[in-house]
Amino acid sequence: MGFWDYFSRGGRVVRGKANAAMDSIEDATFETTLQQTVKDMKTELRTLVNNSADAVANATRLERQHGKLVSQSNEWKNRARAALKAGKEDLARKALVKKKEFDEDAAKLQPSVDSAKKIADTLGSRIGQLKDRIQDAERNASTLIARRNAATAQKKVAAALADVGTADNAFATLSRFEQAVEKEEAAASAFDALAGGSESDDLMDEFKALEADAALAGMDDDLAALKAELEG
Amino acid sequence: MSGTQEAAAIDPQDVKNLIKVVGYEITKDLGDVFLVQDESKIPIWCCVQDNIVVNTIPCVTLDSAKLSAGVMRSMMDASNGLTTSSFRLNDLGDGKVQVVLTNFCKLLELEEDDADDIWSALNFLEIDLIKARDLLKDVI
Repeated sequence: MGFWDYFSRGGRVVRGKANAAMDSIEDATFETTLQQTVKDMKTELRTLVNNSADAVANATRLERQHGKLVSQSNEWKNRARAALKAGKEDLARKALVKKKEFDEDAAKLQPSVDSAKKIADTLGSRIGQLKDRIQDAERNASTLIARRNAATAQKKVAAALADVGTADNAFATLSRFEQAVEKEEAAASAFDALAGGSESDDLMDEFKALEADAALAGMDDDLAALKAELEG
Repeated sequence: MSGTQEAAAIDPQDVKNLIKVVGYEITKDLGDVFLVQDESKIPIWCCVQDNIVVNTIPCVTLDSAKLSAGVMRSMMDASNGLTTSSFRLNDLGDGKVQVVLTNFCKLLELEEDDADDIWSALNFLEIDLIKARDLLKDVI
């Protein structure tokens, strides 16, 4: 065996061990990567939920503020009406000026209210989508890990079969088993046939005796006729 | 991973014990890979990986040239009559290929349910062996 043969054999051993080590690193990395992916998504979800809570609180606050402005505008309108009824036109005008101020403030705030509500809704929708993605990811991760395990197991079995060689041939084993079963069944049938032979002979004898008795019994008339003939 | 059922690794010895209980003998033991046989002596190789048991029957060794497109198609056909198993081919080199049948089951608590699952998997594999022989009858 030359130098290079040893070298290539040694190289194969080293590569074999390195591959095995890489396989185990890859296995660990695979699962770690999956776990990390799901973990990252959950972190993102927590952030989204926190942001969403702030957005909802902000939208609620702005809506309340807007509501107050509208309510105050209505109050000044009612005061203006009351002043008019009382014939106090100047007072009514002043009340309407106040109403207008509140209307303007409410109108200025409206875009902020709309925007805050839109942000809160968007975040809520994204939270729902992210929760679905996390569920899918966890399900897929579980499936991927199961598939990885099945693939690893099949590699191990293939290696074991390679060691065993072609000795195991299930088709041949199955045929042998079927033949053995057929042989046993045939032997059992033969035994039954033998064991049942003497029994049926006895039964036939009994029937023959019965027929003979019946035949004898049927002779009474003939016997009577013969007796009469002899006497006569 | 929280939120999913944690896949706890199963001890191969516990699986071997369950397999003995359901009526099979361990005739060769290589650790997490072992050979089981019942009275038929059909060889079934089992491998425990985490919480999965993969069961494999080496059916026959053939010249790979015999596995025509038509034969392969019938082996892969979804309605070929196989129940829980599927074919796999192991390349043995020198133009030879080993045809195996394989299925697997996932184990949880190693109690009655898992014993039933293992028994079913092994039984279905043996039943599929008969169908497999039928599918390959023209090439064996």
